[in-house]
Amino acid sequence: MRRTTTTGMMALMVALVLVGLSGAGLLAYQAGQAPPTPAGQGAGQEPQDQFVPVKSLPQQEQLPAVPLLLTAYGFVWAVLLVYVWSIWRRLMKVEREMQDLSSRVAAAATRR
Amino acid sequence: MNKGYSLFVLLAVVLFAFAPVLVAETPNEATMGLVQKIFYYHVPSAMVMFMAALICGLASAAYLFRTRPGADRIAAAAAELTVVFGLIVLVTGPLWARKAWGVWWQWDARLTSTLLMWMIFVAYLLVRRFGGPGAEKLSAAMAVFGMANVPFVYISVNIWRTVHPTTAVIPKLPGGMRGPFWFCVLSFTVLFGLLLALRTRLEQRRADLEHLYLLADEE
Repeated sequence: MRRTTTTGMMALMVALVLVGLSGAGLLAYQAGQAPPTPAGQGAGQEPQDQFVPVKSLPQQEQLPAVPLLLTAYGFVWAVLLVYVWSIWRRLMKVEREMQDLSSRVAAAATRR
Repeated sequence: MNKGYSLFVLLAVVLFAFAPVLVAETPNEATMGLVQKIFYYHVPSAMVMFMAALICGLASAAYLFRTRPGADRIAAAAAELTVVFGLIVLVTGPLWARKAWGVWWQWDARLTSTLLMWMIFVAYLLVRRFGGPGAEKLSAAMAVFGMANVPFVYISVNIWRTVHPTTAVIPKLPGGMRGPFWFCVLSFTVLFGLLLALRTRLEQRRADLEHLYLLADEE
């Protein structure tokens, strides 16, 4: 009886996996196979594999990029500073705890 | 703190503080413009993330197969650094993509595999923190799988069709961009070494404290 129930459960699980896979396949087919075309790249164009430096920047390019650039650099600095502070804080906490424990152990030893 | 360690800290601070000055001097890129300068922090962060994941995986393997507690401490430190630098990669990338591609995120091979790798290391930290007894071994096994992802993430841009720039961008960097880029790589690597040493020391001190508690209980 138990064996039949286990086999039934396994069959149900296999069926569910198959239904899930075919559903995912259908969705993928509906979504189409073409990769998304990013802004500034035409359809069928190869991904960029080389950067080309220029001396001057078009005027319309300058303003929108600045907040993104500053956010990126600010984020990196903020994350790293917070992380260094967090390591330092955790290290200090452990050191304090070690000192407390050492003094407690020493006090207990002198009482004995 | 010993003298060598202080010098290491000073070097990391000087390199890291000077990097933005150098980046400001670099020429702008022809198609992407100013926003391409995110590249100087984004790519070194990704390199350091790969480095941290590899160290974590190798140290975890050493802990699993040779049972070396010191290796486990290095692995725990490297896993946390993988998450920190991975977070930087996953935030600075979309900030660049918003301008370069017109969208914050694309579910393409490089971005998705990076996110998955990052999530494996987040899971490592969660298992280690809340997994209870034996969590170290379980998380070490996860780290080995996390490390196995590194080559796939790296070559994903060359194998699959993706909107992300390929790995050929770095060797082909023109003169004005190459110097500042490798300077940033150096400063991120030095900083990574410093953070890894600090974080491993924290794990070491925690182990010392645990040992002290055990001694106190015995007495």
